[in-house]
Amino acid sequence: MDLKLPYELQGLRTLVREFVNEQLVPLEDELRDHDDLPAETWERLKNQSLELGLYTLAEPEEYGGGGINELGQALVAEEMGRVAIGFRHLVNHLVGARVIYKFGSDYLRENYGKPLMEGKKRAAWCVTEPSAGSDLSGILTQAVRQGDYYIINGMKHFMTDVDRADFVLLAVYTNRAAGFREGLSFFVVDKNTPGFKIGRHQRTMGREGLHSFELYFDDMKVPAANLIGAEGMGRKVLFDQVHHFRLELGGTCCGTARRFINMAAEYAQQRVQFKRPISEFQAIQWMLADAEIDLYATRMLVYSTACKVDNKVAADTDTAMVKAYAPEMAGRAVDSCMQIHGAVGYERELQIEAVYRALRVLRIAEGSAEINRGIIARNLIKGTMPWDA
Amino acid sequence: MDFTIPEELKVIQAKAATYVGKELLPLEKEYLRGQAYDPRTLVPGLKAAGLWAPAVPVNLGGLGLSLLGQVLIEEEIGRTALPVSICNEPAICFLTQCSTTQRDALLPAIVAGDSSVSYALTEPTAGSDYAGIETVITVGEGATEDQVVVDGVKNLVVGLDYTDRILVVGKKAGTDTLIACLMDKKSPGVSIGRGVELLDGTNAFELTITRGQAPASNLVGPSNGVSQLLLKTSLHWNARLAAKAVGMGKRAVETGAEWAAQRRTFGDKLGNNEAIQFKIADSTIAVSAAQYMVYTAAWLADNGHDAEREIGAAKVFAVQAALRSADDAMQIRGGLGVSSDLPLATFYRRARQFQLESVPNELLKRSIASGMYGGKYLLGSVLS
Repeated sequence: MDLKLPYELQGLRTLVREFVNEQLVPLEDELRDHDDLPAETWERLKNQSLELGLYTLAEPEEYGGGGINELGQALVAEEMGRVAIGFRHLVNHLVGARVIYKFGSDYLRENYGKPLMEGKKRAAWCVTEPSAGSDLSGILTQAVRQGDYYIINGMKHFMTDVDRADFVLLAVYTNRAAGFREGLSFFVVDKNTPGFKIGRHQRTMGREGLHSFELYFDDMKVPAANLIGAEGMGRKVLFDQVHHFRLELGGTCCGTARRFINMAAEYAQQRVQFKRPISEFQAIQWMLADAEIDLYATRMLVYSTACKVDNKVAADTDTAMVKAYAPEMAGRAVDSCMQIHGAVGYERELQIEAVYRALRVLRIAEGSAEINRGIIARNLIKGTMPWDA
Repeated sequence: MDFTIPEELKVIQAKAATYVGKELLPLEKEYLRGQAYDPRTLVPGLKAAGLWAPAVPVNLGGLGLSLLGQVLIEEEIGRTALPVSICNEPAICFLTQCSTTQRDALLPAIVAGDSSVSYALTEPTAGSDYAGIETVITVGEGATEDQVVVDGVKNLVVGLDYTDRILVVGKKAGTDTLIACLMDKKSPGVSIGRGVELLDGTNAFELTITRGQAPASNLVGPSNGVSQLLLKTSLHWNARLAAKAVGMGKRAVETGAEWAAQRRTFGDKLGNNEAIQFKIADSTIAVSAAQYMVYTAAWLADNGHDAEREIGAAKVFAVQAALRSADDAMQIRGGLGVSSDLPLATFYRRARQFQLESVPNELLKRSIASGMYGGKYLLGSVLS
């Protein structure tokens, strides 16, 4: 057992923290107020991230990425959690690249993976449908093979970032009868493909800077070469990233909680009521201590789980615990921060209310808290205890 | 960063798990059904299993384990409802931190099992706030110059039904300085009063000392005061309570999950109900986090970091996790859960007691908040 961070991870944390504090935090208000930044600002930030090597931290080294492990990524996510989630694509959140490099053909790697790595293109995940949220057997979008092409019909919703993406990674059924286990497949689909249509902008409660849309596919003709892996590999592609997504989200929540707990502790010492700083009231002390203890607990879950994943130890229950708990913890922490700030915390002047809104969806996205609790319990009922691994 | 338990401690951990499984769990049913139980009877078995006196240096007959090693044993011990002492806690937490001379003089008899010591700190006017201690220890006023005289009233002293000595904390006469003295339970002037049964089944007693005398050589701890030693004692005791809570929590979760897999209700497996699944999941999350909080806090202490607040946080969280897990498991097990057939009700009572034992959770939280005001956040010494 050794809690010291390796030298290179210490350096990486510092680098990300400086990037966040110097480049991103000053732009938070603008992002919140306009739900976007000027294209040239995004371009500048992306190029800075690329230059610092932060853009492709975890992609395979042989393709120009940093190849860092899950612990490193969780720590990076923690640093990124200290700023609005709308900036997340700038650091180690390169949607699609890892899937394309792991499961895709050389053609897909060259034509889609490489431009992603170079920051010349962006991608978006397209899985959720009105009839398929947690239960992906409900996906109705289908692909039917016709010669060297597939004809795809269907629709998606809550597709984040498709407005900025050049192509999407699309989950469809190629064989409905084979079900979710064998019948789901992923395609790389260019946005300019005839039949690809962006529908309604689905405005959400928070997370300014991330935009969600409906998508429609009407007899969309996609080259067979754009199939990722083989027909029926969709489930494998989807689950390959599941540990990573949950850990990244866990790290993000820890960073968010850290920032707002610190903010609340500092404010409590400045704010005077009834002739003394409110930090002297036990009601305030309890809120802060509870949040701090809760954060400690969550960091333990995140770090220990990341180490298990890096050491190839079975961690299905552990990553589900991270996903179920971390967003709830962060929600409680930011709620306490708002309570300690009083009406000032509810005002738009500070970032508290924006983060309060943004965090709420994390209990829903990437596997709801309920789905993950079900995973945890079923594993235990089968007799697999996380502490035995 | 690496959470892997070192190989040499894994061996100890496995020994503890085996001992608990083979030796203690078979005794548990009789204890739960009310059979008289004397923890001293376990000492030979604990010694033979290589689990006795983990905090005591090797040259004095102990295992000389780090705090991490100690909490790993406590965690396994925590899995049984039997109230097991792995060497005279919490007095041992105090005595192992005394000077080498004092340790050499006092610890061998305790490690041998020839002597055991009750910890007499609490008074009617002094619980967590030591300033309220009214017991007075007068040095050089006894029958001879090298004696001390003790006057005072203690309460909630645990173990007086089987220990032979008492570690009494009092104020040095005429000062506010806290000092400590070991007294023979049978010394003239020492009177054991009413006993009360605590929630966890142990007995606690009132103790009145009227001109009780002891040799000055029985003064333990630094001569300029034991306040810091008392804090260190609490720190180690908190870590060990937290570890025990993790052990209780794990067994409670396992007990609930096992039943959820077997029990059928309304034509379906009990575990197929989300109401049951979510209880199991929430308890598991809490216990899993608590486990690593305890290990991490112990590692920090072992490696020279100021781990007071991390240990406190681990105690608060782990004890709440144990309480919740026992509660959830009782609900899952139904009537059997609250019966004396299972350890869950004992765990529930014990965890509830742990919330106020050693240092109450409220004071630990106050200390954490106070640290935050000074810029000291949990894990800040390794991960700012």
